[in-house]
Order: sequence, then C-alpha cells, then structure tokens
Amino acid sequence: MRLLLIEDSARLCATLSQGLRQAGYAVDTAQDGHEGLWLATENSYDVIILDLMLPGIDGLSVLRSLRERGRSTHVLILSAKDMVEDRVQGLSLGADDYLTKPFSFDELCARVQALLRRSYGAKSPILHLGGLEIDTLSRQVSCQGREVRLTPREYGVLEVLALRCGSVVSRRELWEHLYEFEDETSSNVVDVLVCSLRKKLGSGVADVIQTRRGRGYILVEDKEP
Amino acid sequence: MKSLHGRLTAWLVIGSGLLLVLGCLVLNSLITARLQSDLDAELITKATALSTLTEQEDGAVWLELTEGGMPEFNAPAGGKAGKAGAAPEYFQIWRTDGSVVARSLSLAGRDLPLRPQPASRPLFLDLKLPDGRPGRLVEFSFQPRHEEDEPYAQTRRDTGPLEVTSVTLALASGRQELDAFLASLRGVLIAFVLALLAGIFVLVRLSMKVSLAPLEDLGARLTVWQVESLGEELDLAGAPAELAPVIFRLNDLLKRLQESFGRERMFSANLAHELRTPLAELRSMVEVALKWPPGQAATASVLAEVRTIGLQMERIVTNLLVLARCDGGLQKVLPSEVPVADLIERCWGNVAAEAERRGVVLRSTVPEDLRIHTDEDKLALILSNLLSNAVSYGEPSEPVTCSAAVVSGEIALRVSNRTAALHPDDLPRMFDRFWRKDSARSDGEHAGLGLSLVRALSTLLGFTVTAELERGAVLHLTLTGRVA
Repeated sequence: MRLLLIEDSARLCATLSQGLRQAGYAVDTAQDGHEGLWLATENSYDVIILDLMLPGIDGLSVLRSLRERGRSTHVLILSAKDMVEDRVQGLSLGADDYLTKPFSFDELCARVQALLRRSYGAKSPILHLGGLEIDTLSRQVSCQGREVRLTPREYGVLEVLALRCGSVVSRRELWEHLYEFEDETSSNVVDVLVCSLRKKLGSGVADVIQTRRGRGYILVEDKEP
Repeated sequence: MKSLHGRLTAWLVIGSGLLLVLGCLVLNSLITARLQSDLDAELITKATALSTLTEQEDGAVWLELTEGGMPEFNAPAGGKAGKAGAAPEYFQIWRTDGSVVARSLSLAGRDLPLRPQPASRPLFLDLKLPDGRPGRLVEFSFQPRHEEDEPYAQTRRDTGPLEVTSVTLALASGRQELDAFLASLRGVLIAFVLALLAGIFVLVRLSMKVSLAPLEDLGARLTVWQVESLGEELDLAGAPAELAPVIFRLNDLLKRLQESFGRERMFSANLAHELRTPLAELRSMVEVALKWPPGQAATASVLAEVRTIGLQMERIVTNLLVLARCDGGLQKVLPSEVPVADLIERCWGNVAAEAERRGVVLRSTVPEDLRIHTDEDKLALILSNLLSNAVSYGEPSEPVTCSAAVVSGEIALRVSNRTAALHPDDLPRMFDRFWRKDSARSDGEHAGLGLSLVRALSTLLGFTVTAELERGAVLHLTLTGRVA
C-alpha cells in the first residue's frame, strides 16, 4: 500500500516514514504544502497523512484543492491542533480521519489500515478468502491453517489482490501500491513477487492468484470442497 | 444583594418620612402653643376680672361678686348650671396665711391646689378638675384694692399707711375642648404623613422604574454575556448621559478583552504546537525504535535526536519560566558595572556556529570603554536573543551590526540586520509570545519566545526595546535606557 506523508517537521517526517516503511507501506514524503499537493495530484495513493500547519500552503488548503480536483484519496489529518473546531473544520473539508499530536505510532498504523479497508469496502481487519486468511492489522497470513511468512512487499501484493478480490489488478497498479515515487525499480519486479508469493502459499492454493495476460493479476477465491 | 431600587426607595421614603414627621411635630407644637396661649389668656382675663372684684379694708378681704355675675362659677361640680350647657369653672382666693377668702360655688366647698409660695407672676399648670375633667389653672398673688369710699380712704392715708393684705387667686377651667381639637389635629397630621409617604413610595418606584430601565437593560445584557459575545458592542445610542461613559468604557474594555482572549488563544495554540510537535517526534521515534530495534549506529543517532528534542523542550520551558518570573516580579536584578562591547563579543560566541553556517559576520561599533550599571546575566540573555534573532532570520551572508550611543545619560544599543521577510505590520506583534513570521512554525530550533523574553527582561532592567524596519529591508532592534 502506498502512502503520502506531508509533514513539515523533518524529524517527525523521517521517523514516521521509516516506521511506516518498516510496517510494509510504500511511503512518499513532502515537507511543504506545494510539494505535497503536487505529489498527491500526480500520483495515486491509498492514504494521505496530512499535517495542517505547513509552509507554503497550509494543510487545509491542500485538502480543499485535492477535493476540488476530484481526488477522493483517503486523508488522515495529523495535527497539533486539538480543538473541536479544528477537527470539525478538517473533517468538513473532506478529511477521513483526524489524529492529534502526540500520538501512538500503533494507533496511526491502525487508523491508516482502517482507511485502507474503507477504500476497498472491507469491514473486518481479517480477510477470509477460502483457505486463505489475511490479518491486515498484524499483517500475518495463514493458508489452510498454516502460517505463511511473507516479506513486506509480498504481503503488499497479496493484500492489494485480496482487497480487490475478483478484479484484475494491473502490474502498474500493483507497482504503484508497493513502491515509492522515487523508486526506480522496474514493474517486472511485480512478476517476481507474484511468483514468490505463489510458492509460499503452496500448491494447494497457489492458483488463487491467476495471471490475465496483458492485463495483470486476479485473486480468485479458493472454494474449498 | 441590595438592589438600587430598594436602596433608593428606602432612602427616599425614610428620608422624606422623617422630614414630614419633623414638619408635623413642629406644626403640632406651634398650634398647641398658640391654642394653649389663647386658653391661658382667657384664664388670665377672667382671673384679672376676679382680682378687680376683690377688695380689702382694715385687714378684711372680700370678693364683690354678685350671684349670677359670673354664672360659670355658680354651678356645683358635676352639675349643669350657669350658662346653658357650659361646663363649670372654678376659682379660689386665699390670704397669705392660707385662710380662704372666697371660692366659687362650683367647688362646693372643695379646694383648688395652692402653691407653697405663691408669686405675683401668673403660674399655669394642668390639673384634674374637681369634676374629674382635665383642666388648666392659673394662679397669682395680688393686693386687692381698697374700698372705694374715697373720703374714708383719704382719711386713712392722712393718718398713716394703709394696711395692705396680699391674696392668692387660683382659677381653673376645663381644657377638654382644646385637647379634643389637638387630638383630632394630630390624627389628621398622622393620616396626612402616611398618605404622603404612600404617595412618595409609589412615585419613587414609578420614577425609578422609568429612570433605571436603561441600567436594567444593560444588566440584563451583561448577564447573558458569553465569551463568544466579546465581539459585540453595547449600543451607545439612546443611553442616558450618566450611562454613556460607562457603556463607552465597557465597550473599550470588551474590545481589549477580546484582543486579550485572542492573544491567549493564540498563545495556548502556539504553546500546544511547540510542545506537541517535539512530543510527537519523541514518541514516534521511541515507539518505532522499540517496534523495530535499530542497529548500534542507528540507536546512537536516535538517542542524539532524542537529546536534541529534550534540549529544545527544555529551552521552551526555561524561557516560559523566566517570562513567568518576570511577570510575577520574582526575577531578581543583580546590578554591576558591565562592559558592553565585551559582553556583545561573548554573546556572539553563542551564535557564532550558526552565523558561520549562514555566512553572517558581526560588525560592532560599540565603544570599548562603554560600561553600564545593570544586571550582566540578564543583559547577556537579551543580547544573545537579539543576536540569535539577527543571525537566524537575517539575510544570509549579510552582516549583523551592533552600535551604541550615549546621549544625556541615556544609552541606545542597537542590533541591526537585513531582512526581506518582515512587513511593517509584523513589528507590533513580533514581541508577542510564540509569535513567528512563519505561521507553519516549521523551524524546530526556535519557538518564538526570544523577543518576548527580550522585552520582559528589558522592562525588568528599566530598558525599552523597540523595533523599526528601515525601508522595509533593515530591521533595527534598539534597547534604550538610563546608563546608571
């Protein structure tokens, strides 16, 4: 999953992006409103984490501009402003969630995850797809009761495909969800990741991830006998 | 709580009531005195008539009063005689030895009271008459005239002095009519006072209701006043002249209160931001490090960052404490002779690293021998903040200049730097706590307390600090005050 973090505090920006990457997200960062708005407009993100007091354009203006341009990306406001009016204003302008500083990093991850589930219409943090069980909070996968150890990227591929179960996801889309804006890896890396994922899931359910030539990949729910 | 209505009503009603009672008492006294004087005059007239009818000769004294001559004295006590329907009156005449010369028939042999030592001056007193009625008595001594037998009298004068006998006459008459009149007069006066008081009470309440209505309106408006209402103004039009200055001052006060609230809100928001952001950094750093423990080198880096954040927060708290102590008058001043040029050099040392990084140099024209009598540590804090401000927010590679001039015992110490970031509108606000030109407050190194600290410490040391923007490009921060 790909996130955009717009935060002017260099220290907080570096820490959060490092933590979120460790948690398996691809994270782009911006430290002022102009750069943040440009990145949010030019790229496709699953969630944008947005500070309010930013140099250049303030966070609320960034949010307003995004919504005016028809971008419906989920936005989580992260701000030191804790007044009810601030929250109401942020949420009224189209933010999906509001978290005041200081905050727990786990809570931030949980809220990001909740927004991701909302993006794909999933209610529960645990996805059941036949014999496949994906816990999106702990990022653990089990296949027919057997725990499957995945790298963050492999998990990312599986999560995107699972959340869009039954729909074809292009290599480009998968790549965009997994890699950051400045990453120069080729989209062929997605094929490598899918191949590795199939191996780890095992022969029993390996064919739940099917290739659609020229279009991408699709996760088909494994109907257990 | 006593109301203005209640107080004014009580004072006016009680005050006017007392005046009315006093007036009625005076009136009553005057009327009583006048009527009693009339009664006494009447008694004297009758007594004088009786005295003229009293005669003496050769030690014998008698009253020449024919029966029916003065019928009011004829009726026996308790009876209705003499004048038809008239109450009886009484008289009695004594010799000096106390023997009775004559008494009215109305006394029926009883006596009127007699003073032990009668005098010729008439004495009046109230008494209970023999018939039980209240009455008034006049008593005086006189010498009865001699028999009007002129030849005999002439003869006696020729042969020697006449024998003279003094007698005492007492005459008493009823006063019930006077008392009844006076009683009815007092009743009328009391009723008049009560009616007048009731009228005054009603009038006072009505007039106050009308007159104090604007005051009550004002009170009602202020009762429902909320913090959110601070932007509103009280209507001055139509207010009575006495209330106009109050409303004017209230509006002025409300305006200043609103500004103060705004500043306080801004202060709280800025303080929250200044503390919440480093706290968020600290917490995130620690939580991420705990979740995914870094290597040894990375741990050292994290700890160094944690230390930096700690120092940054400590600086904010220390500055706030100094400001609070200045506000509360708890900051002590320890004056000594301070060499200003040396102190500037030392303070520049604190910002030298940052200055070097930004290519900024110090150009000081402060005389080497300039000394002022002040608190060195606090002046150092002021200068360090001024120089730090000039280095951090001045144009890179442009010098910071320091100059000082002493005129008529007053020093003007100036720190100047080129800047393109400021607007003249910023000058009045730049000494506010947590004020930063950058509303995003992105710079973690500065909290916006430096210049407010400069102002608070300057005031403490008896200096005044002012900001001036020359041609919109050069900021001068000047410290002025007495040298000694």
